[in-house]
Order: sequence, then C-alpha cells, then structure tokens
Amino acid sequence: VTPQRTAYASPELDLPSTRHITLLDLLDRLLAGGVVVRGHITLAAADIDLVELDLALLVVATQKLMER
Amino acid sequence: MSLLLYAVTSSEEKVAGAGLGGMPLQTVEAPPLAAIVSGPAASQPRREELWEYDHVLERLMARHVILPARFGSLMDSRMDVRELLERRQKELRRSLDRVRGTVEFGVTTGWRDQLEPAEPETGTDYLLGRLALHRRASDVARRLEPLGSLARSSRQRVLPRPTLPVTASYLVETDRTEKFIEMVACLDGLLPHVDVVCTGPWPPYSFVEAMPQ
Repeated sequence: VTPQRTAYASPELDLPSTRHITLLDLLDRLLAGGVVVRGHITLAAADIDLVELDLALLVVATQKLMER
Repeated sequence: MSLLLYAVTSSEEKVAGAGLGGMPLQTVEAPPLAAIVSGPAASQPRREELWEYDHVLERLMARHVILPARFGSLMDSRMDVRELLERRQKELRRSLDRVRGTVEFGVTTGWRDQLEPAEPETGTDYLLGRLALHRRASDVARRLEPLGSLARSSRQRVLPRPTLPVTASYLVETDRTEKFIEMVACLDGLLPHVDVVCTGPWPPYSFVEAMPQ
C-alpha cells in the first residue's frame, strides 16, 4: 500500500520519485518523530527504521541514476 | 496487559474508533491530559502495520487535537501511561497548545541536475567541493524563507544528504494550508536548480517534543 500524502510535487518529477519521497517523509515521521516513550520502542521498530529507510533511500538514488 | 500508545490528547476529547488490527481505541486519563491507546494487535509492532498506524492517526487528527506517538510505543500498563502523562504534563500541555488548529507539512528539495563532481584528487579539492555544495544548499534554504513566515513554527535541515539540499517541516494553521501549498508551487517555479515535493497534511510528528529554539 503506497501512502498518498503528496500535497505538491514539481511537475518535472516522475511519479515513482515523488512516491518515494512521500514514503521517506512518512517513515521519517513515524519512526523518528512523535512523542517518545524512552525505553519502550521495541526492537522490531528499530529494525524497520534501518532497513526501510535505507531501502527507500536506495530506491531514490537508483531512480536518479536511471534518469540520466 | 501491555498497551499500544497512539497519541496524547486533552482529557476533554471523546475518542472512539479502532486502532491496529481493529482493536478498540481507549483513553487513559490523567486530567487535563489523556492518552489514546489500544490493546496490542500483535506481540510486537510489525512493518505492515506502519500504513495502518498512519491511517489511525489520520482519522484521529481529523477529529481531535493530538500529539502523535512514535510508531511502536508499547507501554506496560495503564498505570505506566498515567505516570507518563503526569510526569511530563507541563511539556505535553505546552505542545498541545502549540499544535492546536494546525497540521504539519513536509518539504523536501532535491537537486534537479545531480552534478557528480569529478573524483576529487586531493583532500583540499574534496573540502572545497563540500563547501560549494553547502553554500548552494544554504542558498536554497534562504529562498524557502517565505514558507517559514506562513507557518506557526518550522524546522529546517540543510544538506541532510548530498542529494537533498534542504528538508523541512512546517506547522501550518488549517486555514492557511491552501496558501502554503500555493507558495510551495510558486517557490518551485522560482528555484531553477531544485525540485520540490510537499507532503502532508501530517499529524504534528515533528513538533511534539520540547525542541531547542
């Protein structure tokens, strides 16, 4: 399921890049924002943090490379 | 029984609906604050639940003034939740006041033409390259200032990654959101070297903690 939370995107940006930036923004907020209850964030969530963020960044970087 | 924390709100809010896995939402009250919780849908939060969590929070923010909790916040008991609300009451109340009547928008800028500089031959070349990149990113940050003046509060990161000159979060009053998005589009047209993406509206994820000013 792709989050549809894009309020505006440069007309020159393709849809996948826009989606990935939106995904990144969502992950950044869910995993690095919000009220923090110290010591209660589970390890599972910490795993998602690293894996998903890296993956999303990789996808954006690859997208850029392919556009050249 | 452990509880999954979704958000902190005022104890005057009447909260209903479902959380992750259809678990009914409940409140744990410690007036003037309340926490929105549910029983855990699984023993540990799973990655598939990220989107569902976002939807739960989206529904909550449409009806209530909330401070969203970071995904995966498991509390041991209702007593634990109450203790959290009491211990941090002052800070949480201040944050609730700050976000009342607002939504959050994210703004990401990316270089339109990613100029890969030639592999630097010396350490000095490398540092000069970094400096030039940082100057260009700071310039983008300056050009985004009109967005900051439309917002109640904002946070900017300059060059969080070499590919991203600026990422920022803005706390925007609900009756100004249209104007804000128009301004984003306008700045995107004015900035020749970057593409701009604006995401949201989000619950105020980036404005819940006491931040250094």
